[in-house]
Amino acid sequence: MEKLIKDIDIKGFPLNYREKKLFVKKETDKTENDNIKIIRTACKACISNCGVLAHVKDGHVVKLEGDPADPMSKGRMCAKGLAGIQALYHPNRNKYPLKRVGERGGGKWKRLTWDEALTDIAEKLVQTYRDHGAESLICSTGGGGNPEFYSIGRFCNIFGTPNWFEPGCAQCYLPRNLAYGMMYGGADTSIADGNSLEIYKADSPIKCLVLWGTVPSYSCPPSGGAAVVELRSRGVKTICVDPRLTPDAAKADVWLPVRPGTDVALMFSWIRYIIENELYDKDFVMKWTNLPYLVDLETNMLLRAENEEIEENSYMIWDCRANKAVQVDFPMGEEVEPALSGEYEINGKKYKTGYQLLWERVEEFTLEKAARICYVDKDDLEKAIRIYAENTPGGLALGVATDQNPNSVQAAMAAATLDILMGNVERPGSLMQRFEHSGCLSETVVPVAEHMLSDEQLKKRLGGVEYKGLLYWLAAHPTSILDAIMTGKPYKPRVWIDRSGNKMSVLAQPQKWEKAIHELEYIVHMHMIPTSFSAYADIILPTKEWLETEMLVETCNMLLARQSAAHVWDTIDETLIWSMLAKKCAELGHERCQKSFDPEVMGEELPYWDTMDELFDTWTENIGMTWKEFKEQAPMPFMSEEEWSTYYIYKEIDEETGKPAGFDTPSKKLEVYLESLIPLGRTGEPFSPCELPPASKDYDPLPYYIEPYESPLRDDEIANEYPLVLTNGRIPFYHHSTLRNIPGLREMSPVPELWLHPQAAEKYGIETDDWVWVESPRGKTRAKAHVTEGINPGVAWMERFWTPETLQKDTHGWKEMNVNLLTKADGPFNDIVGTYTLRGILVKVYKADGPPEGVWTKPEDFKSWLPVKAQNTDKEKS
Amino acid sequence: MINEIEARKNLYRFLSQMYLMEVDSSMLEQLKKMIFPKEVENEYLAEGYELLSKAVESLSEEELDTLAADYAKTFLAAGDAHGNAAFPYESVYTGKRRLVGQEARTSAAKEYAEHGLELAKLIYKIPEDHISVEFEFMAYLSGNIEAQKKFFKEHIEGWAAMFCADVERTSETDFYKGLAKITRGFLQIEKVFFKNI
Repeated sequence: MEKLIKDIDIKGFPLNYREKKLFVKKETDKTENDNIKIIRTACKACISNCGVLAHVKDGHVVKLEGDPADPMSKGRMCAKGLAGIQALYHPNRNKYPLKRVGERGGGKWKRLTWDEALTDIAEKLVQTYRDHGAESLICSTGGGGNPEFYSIGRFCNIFGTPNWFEPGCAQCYLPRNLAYGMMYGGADTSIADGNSLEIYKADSPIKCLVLWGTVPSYSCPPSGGAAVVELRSRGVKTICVDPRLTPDAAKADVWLPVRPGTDVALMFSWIRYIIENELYDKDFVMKWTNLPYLVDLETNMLLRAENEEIEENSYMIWDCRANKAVQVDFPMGEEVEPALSGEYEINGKKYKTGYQLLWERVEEFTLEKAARICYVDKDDLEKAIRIYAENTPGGLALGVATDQNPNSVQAAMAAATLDILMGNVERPGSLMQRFEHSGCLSETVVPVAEHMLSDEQLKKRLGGVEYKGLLYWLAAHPTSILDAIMTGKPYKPRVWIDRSGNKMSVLAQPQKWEKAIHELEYIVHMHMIPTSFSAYADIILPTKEWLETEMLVETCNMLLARQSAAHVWDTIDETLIWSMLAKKCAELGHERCQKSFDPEVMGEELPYWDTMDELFDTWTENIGMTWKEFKEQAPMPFMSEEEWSTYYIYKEIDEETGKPAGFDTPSKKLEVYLESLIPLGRTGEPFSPCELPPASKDYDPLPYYIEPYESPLRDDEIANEYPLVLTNGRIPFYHHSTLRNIPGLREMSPVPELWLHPQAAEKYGIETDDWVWVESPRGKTRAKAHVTEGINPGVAWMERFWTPETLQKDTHGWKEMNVNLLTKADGPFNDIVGTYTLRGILVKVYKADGPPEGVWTKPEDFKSWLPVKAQNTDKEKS
Repeated sequence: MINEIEARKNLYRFLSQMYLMEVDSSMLEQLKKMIFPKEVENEYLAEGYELLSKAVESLSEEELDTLAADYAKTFLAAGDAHGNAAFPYESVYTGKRRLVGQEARTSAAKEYAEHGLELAKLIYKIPEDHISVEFEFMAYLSGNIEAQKKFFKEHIEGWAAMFCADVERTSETDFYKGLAKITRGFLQIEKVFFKNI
């Protein structure tokens, strides 16, 4: 025994050293019980909110299953959601705030407390604010991994910077959200974003569903994906417009494998065909759209009656009976016989109807021409249009695909135009609807506090003057930010706070951003796990996984509560982190942040909160509950399904005017001729609180087609060198850049595939499972070939990827197999929102020797993903 | 001369502290005053003491960041998505899926509860099956050898040696390599000690 003591007797370690004891007396005498507690929560592994039953044992999540009460997912979950436990308890999560030690990118960190980390950040922010102005802070977010989008906009408005952005926005959803919002004033038709709610109604009379650039079976399998399956089983016809033979395309009545980037040309052929063959709903178009209104050919503005103060009564039509232009009162009665088409001369000036201008826009797009441009079969094209036009009610669900090239807003306008022409608006069976909301929330859970951003600061928004459609989401333009960092013009952004997954995998041309990163003084990354972007950060903040967070969620006629089922380490909800950061800046004397805690200044935009409960209590008060009380009852319906799914809102009589309510547009009509784009471009009206300088040119009120900048039809040097059109698109295992660190998912989808048609494969000597280089004029990357007839011979497909297993190498995991090394961050941009090109670029493909070094390609490789278990090699020593 | 119970308690406490927190300047001051055993029989302990005491001797306050970075890399897998770290959680080693927060955590928490204890709110939140908590519990149980033996068998013996090997493999400083060796040697002695009871 003495020997033992001799061996282990360390001297001089003070037993009372520890400031805090590790153990305290357990307050109750209850030991933890073995009962399973079921917490009814909602998933956020993607942008959906599927209801989930989290089985919790001793404060630990042991099982997840779908909640049958969810009216959209009805008890189903997908692979991403089911990976929730692996994601929550992943030992490689960001656990505590970290500060860089040594040089940036060196991969060395030290742990900080939250207070230390927030002080570090706030000191830099306040100093930068004083030295260079609030605008030198840029913030960014993104769709992957449980973000709260408005938290970031709110913080930016309060801090005073107009520069937050995301890789999505103009490249994902804003174009559709904006176009439908302006033309209709109601919801767009994005299934993945939780719209097209009609498809979840068991008694919907819908007869035809067009899935255009969307693949619900991949993007949201439990909700939209399953709903589409149910519709097909009820005999609903489906048309799928997608370059890839996705599961939805394979089951469709017609699959149109459109050439990426040419969707507007295809839509124009639909519009043309429907007009030419008089398949549209004439009464509806005449009475409820602005197509009969006269347009001044010099100004492109609608002709208005003089001295008419009521906006919706001020428009002019050509009355065929009176053979002259007359002013019409909203909505438009039998007293006139409006001309739908034609050109008219009034007081020596020329005018055409909106309808006439629309026709002229689409006239050249015959079936033959569209088939040629878009790589689709002419007969299939005609069949598809016929099915759509002859099977009303129905609708066109527009997915993200068309948001990803510079023709983005126009595609959304043309898509909305199709459903409007067919009268597929607010009738049972159509997708364009304004169903009721709970009234629980004012607009967003986190009020964005737009009023806190001064006009002076708003005018400094990078890209904000040229791309005024971004005002709709109060966002800045990514490439304008990139340019400002590199050139210092009009000023130099210096500090970047990002809350998202992997910017290097989701931004176009990360190789450019890598250079920009080196120009920045200070970078903060908030996320649940380290990603490539973390490698460039100075501070990493650990955020909560969805199983740790809380959120109030509206799903059809139900309110759900995402509620915390567990909490590991020192992770904090992003929504709270921004509040904590504002508080720290306030303490350091930042006046604007000080004001953000003042209820009088903030009013309905709410003062910042110290807890999430405080924020949620504000909203649940509207239904007479505290958040805690609500959580015990959720999910709960806020009204019956019948009350919720209200049709024909536009026909409801407005008590004030005694007339139909119409649509939420200036004319109260569906504005197919989107005149309001003109004032938007010139001044920012109606979205800007102040008059902004004009964009370089007027925005076009009608959709137009632009042939992609890189196009096989251009027959130029680029087209000759790079013969294939590349697109990308969802796979069901990941959302954006998420979950590449989950062994179970990576086993199913270890590396990105490059899809090639057998003809192309033969031409380039490539077989399935070959490693290939994919090269564009901007870069090259590797993928594994998959040869399939499920794609056109001239087209290739590859989805975004990054490899956490090579995070500590020089590549930081984003240079090996990353389609965005090929995409195009520079112009041409969409004129209204500044969209750059993610889909529809040109590439060449050739064989590679093998996979990139260090990436894991086979299921068994992912064993090494798991923490390495050392062998117990202990020699038994006496 | 110190008794065996106190010596073991001391060492458990020391190791618990070292795995719990980074070394700060006041801790460095303490460490420099420490005297580690010499002419030790157990090879791991001998190597460990040698490495650690030399590391401490030459360590300056300016180098504490480097040591903290090694702590973060080794025990927190800071900034790395790769599994290449020594995760100080029993669950990761004993659970089928190698995740944190699995059965081991629950059962450790129960064991503490049976002794009327629960984990305090700490500067940095850790799960109950963190090596520091388990070592601290061993120290707490000093004098109650049967309880110590039970907890050692059920919670420490199954993974701590593997964890130590991972620390040696992953860490870049002699400080933590030395610490891992000391831990490993001590655990060997403990194993024999409990066997003989």
